[in-house]
Amino acid sequence: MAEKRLLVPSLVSIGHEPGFAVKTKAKTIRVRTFQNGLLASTWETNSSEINRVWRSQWAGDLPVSPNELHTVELDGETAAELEGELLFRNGQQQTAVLTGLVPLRDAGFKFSPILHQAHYNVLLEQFETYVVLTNLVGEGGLPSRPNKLQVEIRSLRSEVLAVTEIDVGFNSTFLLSVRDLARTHGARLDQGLSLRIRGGASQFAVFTVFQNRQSGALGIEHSLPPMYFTEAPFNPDLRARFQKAAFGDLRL
Amino acid sequence: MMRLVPAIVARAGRAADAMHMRLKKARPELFGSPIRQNMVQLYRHDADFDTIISIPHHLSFLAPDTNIDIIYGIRVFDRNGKLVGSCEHTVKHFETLQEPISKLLGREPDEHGMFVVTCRYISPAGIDFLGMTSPQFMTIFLPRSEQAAPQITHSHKYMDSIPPLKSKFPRRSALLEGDANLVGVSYFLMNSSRATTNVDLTLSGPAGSVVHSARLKPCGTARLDFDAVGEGPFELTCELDRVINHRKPIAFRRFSSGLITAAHS
Repeated sequence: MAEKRLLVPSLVSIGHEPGFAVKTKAKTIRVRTFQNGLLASTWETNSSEINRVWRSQWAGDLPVSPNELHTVELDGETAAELEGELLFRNGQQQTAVLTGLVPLRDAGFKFSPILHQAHYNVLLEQFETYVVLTNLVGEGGLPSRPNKLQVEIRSLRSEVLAVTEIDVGFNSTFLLSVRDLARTHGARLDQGLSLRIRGGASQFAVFTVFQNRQSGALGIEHSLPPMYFTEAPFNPDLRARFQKAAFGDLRL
Repeated sequence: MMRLVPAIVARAGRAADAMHMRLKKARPELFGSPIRQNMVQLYRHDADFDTIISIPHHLSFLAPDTNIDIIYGIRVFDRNGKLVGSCEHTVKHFETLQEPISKLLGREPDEHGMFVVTCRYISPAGIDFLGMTSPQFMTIFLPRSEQAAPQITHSHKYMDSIPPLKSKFPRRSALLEGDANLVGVSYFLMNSSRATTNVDLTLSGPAGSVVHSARLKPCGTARLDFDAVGEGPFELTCELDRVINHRKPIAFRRFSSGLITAAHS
């Protein structure tokens, strides 16, 4: 069974300390922190039945980097399906989301492009919406090719307003501000926007964060990848046709 | 033996569903497209939150070269399971349907309750390679407070197609609660079945356990408020007396700052 890790995004750049909680039979919990794609610290602790840990505990002496990514390994955990809880706090509130662990792939693994339909952006003046893209390739050497994704901005009425690309780096957290993206490309916010995000060359976990711009309060949820909408990605008889239909025109 | 009967009935129900889907996949023009649907989620329309439903035209990004209108149906129930109203909205290629639930419905719903999303395609042409599809959506809880942030939950459970038989089923949530500013947690439970279902929620913390119970009418929703103060950790166990599909209460945490955050458990 491939090693799995919980990906913990950094939301320090928007004022929230990350943490996680897991109920596990693992003997050891290992947290690695990546900065600018490279391993910056490793922290281990003995596991108990209920574990709740914050960044200030696992990397308290490490200066914060906005694009840092934390990965959690549960040594000795044998459950095939396990959820971890991602936590974020700012002294006023705490928010959390349950999410699955992602596989750590071997060096040279050929990743399929991802597809994220970000249709649920809240663009009222008092709020900000971030698409939070985390990705993992591991501790080996970083791939030479860029980790690029195409972002297509549409109105809720389907009109294409702009198409652009982002390079999210590897082993990183990338916060895509929907408001800033729209402004950069001259897209109006008042009618609502939908993003189609495709591409990438690593193992992704995608989240959406809503933030109150005045108080800093947050809401978060993980994304629903295509397998929630169609059986095609995991049906060997359908997969190739689905990949061609969804990504055949993608050039990055 | 008591646990065996519900398991057999559940298995028979799943087998019947699978057969139905196989027929749809083989002859969608005759039996309709193979769509797994009747997805349920919570709405709030109270002093703390209003609810926005965001539904993407999912065929657009799965099969962008097609151009098939999707007709979404939304049924809204009050907390007692009574149908408040229903509506249909046609969504075209690459459009998103994103509106407050009261606007979609054309009337005010209850303070809280369950809603159900279905869909049908105007044509099955060109999407056979998708196999079974599902109209997933996102639910945005828009705060009334000027300080709070919108909260969000995804869709993921379905209405029960056959009445679930009685069987006690405790489930420990992976979601742990606790924060220096936490003052309480409200849990919302939905009955995704057409049978009255009883539930015991137990919140266990450092000082012991507290149990709150509710009787969920068919398609009904219950709100159970717990005083959970401080770091905890508080652990939730949900015990239903029927094996309904939706077994994960939606948690809304309340903080001394007045802020509220949500998560599915």
